[in-house]
Amino acid sequence: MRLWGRRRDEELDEEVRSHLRMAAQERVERGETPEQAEAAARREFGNVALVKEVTREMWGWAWLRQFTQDLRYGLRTMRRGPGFTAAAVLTLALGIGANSAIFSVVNAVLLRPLPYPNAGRLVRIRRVDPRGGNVGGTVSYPNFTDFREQAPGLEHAAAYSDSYAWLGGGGEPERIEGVYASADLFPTLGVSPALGRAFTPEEDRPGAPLVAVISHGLWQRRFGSDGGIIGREILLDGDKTTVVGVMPRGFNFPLGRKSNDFWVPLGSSGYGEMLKNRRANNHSVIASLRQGVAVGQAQAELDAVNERLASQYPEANAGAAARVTELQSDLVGDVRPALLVLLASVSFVLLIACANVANLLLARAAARGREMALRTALGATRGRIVRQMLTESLLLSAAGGAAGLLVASWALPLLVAADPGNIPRVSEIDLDPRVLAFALFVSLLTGVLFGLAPALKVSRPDLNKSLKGGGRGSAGGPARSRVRSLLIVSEVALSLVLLVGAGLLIRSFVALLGTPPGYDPSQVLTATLDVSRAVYPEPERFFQQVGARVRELPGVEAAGMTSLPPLSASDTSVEFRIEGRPEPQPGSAPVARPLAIDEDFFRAMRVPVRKGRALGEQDTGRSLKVVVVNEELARRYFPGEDPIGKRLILYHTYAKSEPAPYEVVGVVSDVRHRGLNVPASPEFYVSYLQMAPPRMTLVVRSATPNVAGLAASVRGAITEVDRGALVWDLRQMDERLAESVAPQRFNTLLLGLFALVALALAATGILGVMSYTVAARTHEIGIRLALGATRADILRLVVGRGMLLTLGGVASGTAAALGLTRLMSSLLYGVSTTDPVTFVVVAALISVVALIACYVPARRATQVDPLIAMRYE
Amino acid sequence: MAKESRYRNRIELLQGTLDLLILQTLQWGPQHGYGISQAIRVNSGEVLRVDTGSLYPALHRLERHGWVSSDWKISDNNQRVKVYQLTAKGKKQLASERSRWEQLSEAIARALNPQGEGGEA
Repeated sequence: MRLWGRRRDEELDEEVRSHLRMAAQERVERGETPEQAEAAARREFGNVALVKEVTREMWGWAWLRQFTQDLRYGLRTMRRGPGFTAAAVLTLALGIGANSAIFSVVNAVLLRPLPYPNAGRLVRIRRVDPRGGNVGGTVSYPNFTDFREQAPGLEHAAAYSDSYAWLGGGGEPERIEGVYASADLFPTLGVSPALGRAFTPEEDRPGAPLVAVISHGLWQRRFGSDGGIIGREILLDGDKTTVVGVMPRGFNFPLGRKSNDFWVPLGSSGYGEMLKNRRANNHSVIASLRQGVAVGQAQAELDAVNERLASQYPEANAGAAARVTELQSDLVGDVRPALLVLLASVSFVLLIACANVANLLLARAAARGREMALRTALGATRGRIVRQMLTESLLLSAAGGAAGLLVASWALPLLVAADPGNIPRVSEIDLDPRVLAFALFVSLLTGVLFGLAPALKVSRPDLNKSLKGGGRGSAGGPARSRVRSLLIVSEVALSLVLLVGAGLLIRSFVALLGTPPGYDPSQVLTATLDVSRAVYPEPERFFQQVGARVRELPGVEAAGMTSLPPLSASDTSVEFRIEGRPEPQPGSAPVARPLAIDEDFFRAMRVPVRKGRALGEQDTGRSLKVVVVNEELARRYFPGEDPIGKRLILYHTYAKSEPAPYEVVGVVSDVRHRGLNVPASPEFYVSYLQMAPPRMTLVVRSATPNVAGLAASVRGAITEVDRGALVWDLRQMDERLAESVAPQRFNTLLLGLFALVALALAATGILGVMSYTVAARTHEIGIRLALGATRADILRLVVGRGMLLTLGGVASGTAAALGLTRLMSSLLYGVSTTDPVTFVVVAALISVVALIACYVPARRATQVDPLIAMRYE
Repeated sequence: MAKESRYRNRIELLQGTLDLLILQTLQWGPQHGYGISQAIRVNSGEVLRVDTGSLYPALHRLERHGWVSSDWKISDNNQRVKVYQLTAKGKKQLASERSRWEQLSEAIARALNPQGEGGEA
């Protein structure tokens, strides 16, 4: 095309030349001198270059030719102003990079379909209990089978429970995470193992031989990618289990956990009794919808099934409902608002960056007024100049986009490493084609956004003035300064919104950290001891021995045990009865979280006893059964009564426990077990000797701040009691607490970072505009000074104008923030979305920063020498 | 401003009229750009002067539509000139443009001299 284009160019040249020649010749024949004739012919012909240009436009390739021309010209302009180019590209790179990075997280977590063939049809079925209690939305096995069989819209449905196992064989047992699932799991997801097969419904029954499907990772790591693994026996929790399949590389289910290494049938597990219990709401349920069945239809079917179940088994199902949601939105439910808020914030940063670059371009446009006037005089049309200016700004934004992708590829690993633990599918985050397309789109958009206003301004120059004058001229006229003022106002407004958002998150975070957890987390070490999978004839004796041995260790102030330490993921609630009260209506029985502890737990955790007594050494397996309740339970179920001496009938707690009356002997203060931001629900504590739990967590209070040093000796004490003891999660309580607020910290840090960048960009913007204004008005300032204005007057003039704009920005930003912060209410804790303290402090902070940004150029203005200023120009 | 000066010295031709004039001129035989502009000037009694900035884009546009074709010829005084020629398609186009022009000028004439119908209205 190029060659062909060049030939056409040459032909056009020749055509024009022959035209001129013929015209001149005719004049010569009429008697003019050749020189006169040639000049006249040229004059008559007009603007040769322009004629060629408009003729070329007829060829159809005009836009491309002009574009390459503009491109070359733009590149030259960029090279000529390296400082300007660097400032603009860097600003854009920051904005586009941050946007691409956050978008890749949004893309991987919210947008990309789940990594299963049936992704589009997968739903989660949650049990919704009006009494609360069952936060996890888990379903009992009998209810699950009824759902599966009675809702025709479900193609497959599977029940599963997250679990773990101790993988034996060779050295120390390794704790691996995995899932107990019904055999429908694999057809539901639409996946099959890469090697071997999935387990069958026959293997998903009580008494069936034990089989397992393992992950690709485990197969590689523990079995050296042995092709003969299928059919081999491995030791899971000490049981010989046959490996029947290996999943494909990268397969993970459920995605809420970073990795899962095994999937075993639920039916053949030791949970046989539980699977018959309609009240044991312990299983997560997913389903795949039949082709063409909408979520709403499945919901209607399940509502019908649920209604039948409620009337058939009121004691288990009265009042409960089942809610169907798409699996993907169920998975990301918690992180979605946070990610969207982050994406919105980062786009604000980009908008501010755009405003800054537009400012730079405007300033430069003023300096280029003469060049544009010249081009116009030479015949360039307005559209042509706008096109050229837009090409230049698009070049800038493309460079900014490319640099931004570099920034993103550098920031992304940091972002992934800072994973607060609640973001599913973090490992899938990458710069995929969709992110690249996003970056390209954003770059083009920003190019047009910051380039259009300057381009339109520049293309309307006053020719005479620009050509005659020095080209620097006045401040650019009222219209241009209006655009600049608007940019300042919007920069201030945008950064105010971001700062308010960040401020609210910081206030929430401080409030969160300031919330008393109900115990003293400092200098406490925790370690979980598992007895469910190992063979202990008397687990209580093991716990007792460990407790006694640890208490003897030097530096240990107290050592207690609990079945469920604060901030552990597990969450169960059970029904109970209060002796002497009428049997409650089905669905309205009291519920509470059961905890089994030893007599030292409250002392070790420093949980204050409010009334009565704590559990003591006198409470043994043979003594009177007693229970200690938390204040919330007392408040909710014994309002205006003294619970001490009342008796609770507890049942269905752990496998071994029988329904039996327990006398309330004490009330302790509320412990925020489920996180600092979750108020305590009703809870009761029973001695582990009276209600055998499957595992206990040791909590050791150190007498010295050297808690880490204690870890080794605690582990030593445990293995002294039993060399095969299964211990994990040896951590400090502080760490657990810090980890539990990691999502909030992540959001706060990121939004805070964005707000700071926004503030810095806005400050630079104000500084730039005010400096430019001062420079452009040097002449005027000189006259004012010469006419008797004081330096203070000048200072007031410049700062006053800047601050007026800032106040406009603060006002409009406050109005916008009042509307927008509502969207982040789910991220806030202990602070309202319109918190006046945050708004006032942020407005003050922005004003101070703006004041400094105005003061610097204003001071320069006061130092203008009237004589020099007036000679200038 | 530059824009204005470009158009100041010529009678604004109605959209499409220049095409008609060019096609009509080429009906007498192949001609080069300069010749076409001269012919239009002479044939219009020195009233119409075709601006080169309109002539050449028009010629190239007509060529792209396939209404004229071009050829490089050697002129009488031994110089290479680009000569345009009416195509069959161009002849059809000329006929339709002519009839459109006649309708238009008739309509304008009537609009400018409405005596005939004025009494009735």
